[in-house]
Amino acid sequence: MENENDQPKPIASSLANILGKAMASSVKFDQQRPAVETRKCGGCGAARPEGTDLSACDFCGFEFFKKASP
Amino acid sequence: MNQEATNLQQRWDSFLTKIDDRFQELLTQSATILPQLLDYQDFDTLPFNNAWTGIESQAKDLISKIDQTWADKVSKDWETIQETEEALLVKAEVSLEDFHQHFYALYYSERDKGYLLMRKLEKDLRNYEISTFAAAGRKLQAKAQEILSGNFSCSQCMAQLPVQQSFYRSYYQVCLYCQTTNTFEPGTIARNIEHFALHPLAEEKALPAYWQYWELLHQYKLQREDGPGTIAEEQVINAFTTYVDVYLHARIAIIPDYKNRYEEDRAGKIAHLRRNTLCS
Repeated sequence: MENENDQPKPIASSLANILGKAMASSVKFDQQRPAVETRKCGGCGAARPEGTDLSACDFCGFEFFKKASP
Repeated sequence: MNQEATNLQQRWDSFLTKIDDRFQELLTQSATILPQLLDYQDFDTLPFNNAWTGIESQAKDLISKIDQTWADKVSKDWETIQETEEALLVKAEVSLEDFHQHFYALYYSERDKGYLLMRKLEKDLRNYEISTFAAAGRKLQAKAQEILSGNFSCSQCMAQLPVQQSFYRSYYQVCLYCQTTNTFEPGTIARNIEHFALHPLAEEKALPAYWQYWELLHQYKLQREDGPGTIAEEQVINAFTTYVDVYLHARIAIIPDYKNRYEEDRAGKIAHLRRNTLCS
């Protein structure tokens, strides 16, 4: 069945080989940390309260999305 | 049968035992080491996935070696024995009928030993895969829980902001004090619950039901080749549906939001079974 001279590598050694290659070949991506942020008005710096208009600031009327000029 | 046949049987048995032992050793050690890799790599799931790919490939090589060795070597050795015996019987002018009956019974029983081991190892591989990934998934889940139970503050007024413990995507969270809409980002580790841990943890719960379906499907496919059978397609679908129900409910237990897509997922999985597994 198997050639006596062709003994397979010990499991520990082939496992170490696989783990080493997996660590060396895996691309390291930056991990995003948990965070909290708020969109703020570019005009007055006010935060966006719940249920308010998404296109203009409720406090100063600053337009978040300006129409492109024709 | 002669001594050569006995020797061949012993060598084949010894080969199968070696394959089984090596397979179990590889997977047992991997099941212990791989979840630790997750700690060591600061919960980066990529090296874990890459390492599993390598281990799975080695395990599959071992499984395919059984079939390959039977076809390339053992079956041929049996044919040589058969030819030698037949020549002796022809020379002695003895009928070959009794010999053939005995020989083929032995030949197919030896071949089936290999097939049975292959099937057992395929089942073992899936069990190891699910349990190894689920063990790593639990580690990730514990870490995510630790992160999400931390203190988060409204970015406008700095009041404490409550965050959901079982939701792993970013979402709007309104501050109870100043009503500001905050965007909460749970971070990579918590996000990976959905991509890495959810499936194996749910599969682990559903595994007993899965194996019942797997066995029934195997019997169903065998009978189709052999002629009229006793297992109906609906029985396979029912067994699969039982498995899918356990799996989907286990997912909902981890991420309750999945309840909204339960019916759609269930119907999709059953349609996939009808279209791809039962028709092939």
